[in-house]
Amino acid sequence: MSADLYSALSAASTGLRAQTVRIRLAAENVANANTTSELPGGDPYTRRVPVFREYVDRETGANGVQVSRTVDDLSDFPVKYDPTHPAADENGYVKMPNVKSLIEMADIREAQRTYEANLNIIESSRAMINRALDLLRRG
Amino acid sequence: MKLPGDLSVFQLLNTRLNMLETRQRTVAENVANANTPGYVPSDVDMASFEKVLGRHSEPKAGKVGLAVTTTGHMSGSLPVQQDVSTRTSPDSEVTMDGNAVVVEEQMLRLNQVRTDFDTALSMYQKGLALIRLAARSPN
Repeated sequence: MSADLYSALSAASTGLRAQTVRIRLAAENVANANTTSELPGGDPYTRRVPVFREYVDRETGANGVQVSRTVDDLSDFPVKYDPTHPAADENGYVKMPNVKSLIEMADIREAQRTYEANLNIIESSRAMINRALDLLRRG
Repeated sequence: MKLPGDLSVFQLLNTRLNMLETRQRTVAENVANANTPGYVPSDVDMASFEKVLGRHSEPKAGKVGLAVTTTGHMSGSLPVQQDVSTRTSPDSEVTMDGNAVVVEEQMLRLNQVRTDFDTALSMYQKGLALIRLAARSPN
């Protein structure tokens, strides 16, 4: 009967999974917002971002989503003048991570919103399945 | 008396429920891919659905079936499951990465589907109740 409804459930669950990975990466970025290199003049922590890709679940035929890979953010590292820092280069500049906490927060908010939308789908599909099954009980 | 499966109202409702389930699946897929770059949302192709509905309300003329030449033959009248086709239908906004899903519009569609599904199931139930009423003994 409701093969499509079960496909809906499975598509929504891939959405939940992908958004969780996204929030995890944002959390890692924020946690490492001040992680510099241990070597003088070395590169600090690089911000990482997920790459989402459409993905067909062969079992249910549902078009879900998948985090195909995570990539480094290639934007420039901001530099800070701090000659006493162990990672400072010969001119006294320290490369800081290219993590902007404001952007990470906005990203987390967006991921949260999409996560909730996926939860709505699961709730409503489940209600529809239950409503159809009620026909068996009450006729 | 015909069996409920042969009654056109049940057949119509069956087609509609199938369409709504497919629609629910497309909504789930769209929301799961709400952040996938380049993803264009899809929806049930209403024009083709109307054609499917039209085929149901037409008399059975022109339908290819098994020839029944003796009483032992079965007509093989299992209804052919007509697939509801889907097509891409971009929402009102396209982001810079080419994603055309607007979560709010999908949520709206989700609620529409759920209401329609409940309505169709209620009518199905009503139909069954009518048959039961007719089958009940008068006293």
